[in-house]
Amino acid sequence: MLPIIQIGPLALPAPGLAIIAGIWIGLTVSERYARRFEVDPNQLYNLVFIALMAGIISARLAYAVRFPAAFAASPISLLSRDLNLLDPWGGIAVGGLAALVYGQRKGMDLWSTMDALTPGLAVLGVAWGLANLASGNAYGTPTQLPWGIELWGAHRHPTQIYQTLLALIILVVILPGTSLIRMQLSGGRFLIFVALSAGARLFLESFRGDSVLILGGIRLAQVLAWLVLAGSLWGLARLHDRQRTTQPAVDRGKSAAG
Amino acid sequence: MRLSDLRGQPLLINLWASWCPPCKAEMPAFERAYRDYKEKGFQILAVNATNQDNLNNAINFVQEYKLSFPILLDTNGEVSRQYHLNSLPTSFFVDRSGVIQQVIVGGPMSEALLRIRIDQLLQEEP
Repeated sequence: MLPIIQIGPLALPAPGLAIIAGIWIGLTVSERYARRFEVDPNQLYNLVFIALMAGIISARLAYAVRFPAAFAASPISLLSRDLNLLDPWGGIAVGGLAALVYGQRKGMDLWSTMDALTPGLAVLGVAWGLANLASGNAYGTPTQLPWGIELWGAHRHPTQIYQTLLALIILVVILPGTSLIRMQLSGGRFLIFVALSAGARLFLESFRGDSVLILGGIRLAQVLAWLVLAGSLWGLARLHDRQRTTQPAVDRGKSAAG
Repeated sequence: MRLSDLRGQPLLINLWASWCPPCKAEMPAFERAYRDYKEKGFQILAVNATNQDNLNNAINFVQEYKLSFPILLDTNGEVSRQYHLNSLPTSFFVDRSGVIQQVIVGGPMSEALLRIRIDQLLQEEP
């Protein structure tokens, strides 16, 4: 756990730095592979930039709307770099909407764009694991296993390290350069990433010591992960069917041309 | 001072040192919030990590910022060890039952967050 990196008078929050580095490296990786998905790297960069800006501003405003009295007492807090003062769902909703509007105005294909963004999202997944390791969030249940770590007063599963390793594996699988995925149709790479991430969360959640429990002991994140996994597998099955039905037509076309 | 004596009161336990810039940055907000909320039963315990500070500097710090809440001295580092202190400042929001509800590592904590958490702790049933 290394929540703060102290450089002279500067106290830099390590989790925030990990996330910023993840966004930067992830965007660079996505831009590098964008043309493989017939996406203009410059448009991809602009789309991410607009989504981030809209997301961050709306996340802060959504949080302020929930707690108007606190922000009325301290209006300067609207400009605080405190990540606790963000409403993630508000940010995701508005950021996603801004990206959608920008993409539509520029004529970007949704699924090709999602495929192009996938390597960046996978890098961000690794950064997220490292951010949790630095902050001590997403901590594990107590264990006697020799690779457990001392955290929050107990010897615990190093769930943050599990998360980082799984994210690295997913990154290697979905990187276009490794050619481990042979899905040809738009959206396939993104859906495989979503399915793998949901599977990883299902596994990870079993070791988490901070799970939200519902209905007398069911882990909420696992329920959501099952739903996401089912949805992404259904989408992949549909893509696979489309690929099977379009492939013979392509082959027939090639034969006729030959 | 014993924590058990304060059972029933929401608390902010803040570990700080006079040389720490984020500690300096957040103390005025702590003082304003303390003045606004102390009548409702909210308490701040500011624990100076004296084992890694200079006592005179700590005293000057308290006078400079006109702090009116209790300042405690952790002269041998025992409190820092018990609270697994990794970084200064670190703040612990403690509910009326004496359970730590949130740990804020590093700073400065924004005044809005401070007030939101205090309101939430005060709203809980005694």
